[in-house]
Amino acid sequence: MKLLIVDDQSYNRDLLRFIMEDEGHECIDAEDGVQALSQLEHHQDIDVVLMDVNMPNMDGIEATRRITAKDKAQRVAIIFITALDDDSVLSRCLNAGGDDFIPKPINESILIAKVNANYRSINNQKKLAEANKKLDEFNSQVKNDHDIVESVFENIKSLAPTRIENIKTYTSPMSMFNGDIILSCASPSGGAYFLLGDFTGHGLPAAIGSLPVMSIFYNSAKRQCSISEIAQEINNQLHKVLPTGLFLCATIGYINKNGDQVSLWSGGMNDAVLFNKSDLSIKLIEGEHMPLGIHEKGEFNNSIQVYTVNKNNILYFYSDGINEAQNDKLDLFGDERVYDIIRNQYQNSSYCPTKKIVSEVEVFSGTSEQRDDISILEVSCLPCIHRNITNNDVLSPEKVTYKVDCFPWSLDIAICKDDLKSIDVINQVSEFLGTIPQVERHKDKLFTIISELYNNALEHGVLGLSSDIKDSPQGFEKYYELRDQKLDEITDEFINIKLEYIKSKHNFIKIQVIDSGAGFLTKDTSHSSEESSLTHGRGISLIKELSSSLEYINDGRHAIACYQFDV
Amino acid sequence: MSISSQLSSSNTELIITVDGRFDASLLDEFRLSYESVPDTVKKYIVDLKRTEHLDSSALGMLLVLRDFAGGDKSNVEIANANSEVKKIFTISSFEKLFNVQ
Repeated sequence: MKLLIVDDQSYNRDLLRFIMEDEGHECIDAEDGVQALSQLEHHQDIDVVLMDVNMPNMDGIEATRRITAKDKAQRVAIIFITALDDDSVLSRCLNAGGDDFIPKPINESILIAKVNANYRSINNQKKLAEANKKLDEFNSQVKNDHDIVESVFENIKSLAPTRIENIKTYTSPMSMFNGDIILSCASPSGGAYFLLGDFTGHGLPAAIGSLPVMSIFYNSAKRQCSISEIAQEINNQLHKVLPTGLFLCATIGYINKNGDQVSLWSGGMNDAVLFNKSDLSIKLIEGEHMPLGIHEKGEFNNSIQVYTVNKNNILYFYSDGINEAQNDKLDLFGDERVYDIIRNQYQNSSYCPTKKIVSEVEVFSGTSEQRDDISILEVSCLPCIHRNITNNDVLSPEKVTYKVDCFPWSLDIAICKDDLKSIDVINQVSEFLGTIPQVERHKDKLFTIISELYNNALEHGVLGLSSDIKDSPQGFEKYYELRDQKLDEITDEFINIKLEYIKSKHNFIKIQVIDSGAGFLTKDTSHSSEESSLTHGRGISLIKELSSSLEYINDGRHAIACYQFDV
Repeated sequence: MSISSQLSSSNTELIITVDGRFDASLLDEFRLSYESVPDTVKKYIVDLKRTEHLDSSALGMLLVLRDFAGGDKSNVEIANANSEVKKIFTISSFEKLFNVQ
């Protein structure tokens, strides 16, 4: 410990120094207040000052006032040494910032005890100040980090170049760090995908969890995946990467281009509200499932709910930050208030329930510490209108999402032997087509065409089955029994599929399917598509309807279909 | 299971739900779902809300069901078809044979 002894009497200074040095402490002297200030300036490591009151030049009280004014962090303890005969002097000493006093005449053991006690206290003070400083630094670091992560998320969101007029969202600032996530994205088919989610847990873990969710969501939307597939994929990823106990309550939805059908997958969320403007009725849609990230791949239930809706319908989804908002009396905001706002707001001219719900929740929770972040998603069931995010122009989503120009390509696939027995061949081809820019949004139709051509080649060509067998329901069964039998007997048969992307005034996918069979096209099969209630012949009519041309050559061993599309 | 079926409480309706791809691979499963229902069943509902795709053999299977349910007097409803699937129904004029919802 280092002490500064301030006294104008050299006798007093010597006495104090003698006692303190005997205790093993280092001592410095000052004869008055002025000297005391300059000594403290030079020796930053002084812990305790023993201060006389009456001194020439500057007295102890004034010196103390100046020391404490400078020493905001209270690194120095000041102990007055004074006679206890004047209460007003004592109180002035303490008011000036003194920590303690020792009565004259000095009692050696009281002096030592008080100096030690004050030293301890000043030491704690210093540790606390240091800890506080570190905490401040840490907090500002965390804020910095959050700002960075938040801006990364904003950037990812802005990757979606369109905004959907039917979908309105509200989310409180920095809510990502409370685990809330709201996404929407145009489907190339003209519909729109949306997602409202709420991670368990707070802070960075929740924010990190939303990264895979976002990338799966946007990628799946581009590939026109079904809601089931998106839910399944997000679940599988989260289950893999998140620790147990961290999971995502979410509703994932899709509204089709015409705005008359909505599909939903919902797990662990509040009931969604299906509001009808015409009669102000509210239908609740319960979540059916466990949250995302809990179940293993095989256990996950990806079944969805499908609703037929009309222009009077509006859907509301909200996070539990709203219904679980508390006021000072610990009452909950609850769901009924939300429903009432939706009904009442529609009767008002200023129809914007989303804003109203947010402001009502704010008023309700007031200054309550319990305030959570809130997120709301509103979907109006109208034909989807997509707007450019920068200039607000109305756009067809396929124009925006698929600016990538694709070069011409061709693809040859040879399927033989055991591969012909696999039911999955066409699925794989179709999945592959779904990854090619510009072709992906035609995946479904191409799948149908290729699958029908392939089945014809396999069943009539390679296996030599006649459609006539299917004329009766019994025959239909018989036909597929024969099909399985003959598949087992396959030796060195093959089917080749050739796909070409031809760029010209119109863009084509040219599909050729060639099989090793004996040829199946005879005169009487050509008109089978005209008959409407037979159990066969539909494949060809489907292909004809979906493609711009269909031609069978080489007695049916070789099919050529063209699928035309605009870019 | 890709196909599940459920009788209504009054045993007059059978709901058959098809998961994923509806094609020839589901032939047996689909037939088994309605073959042994009681005589009281008057209406068949094929729920396609979880069906991603269907091909012409599935159309054939639906026709077999229609035949089983009484042909022209049958009451078979196709529910919750997505727009792609609906399109296939339209192209094949299936809307005339089934009650497509």
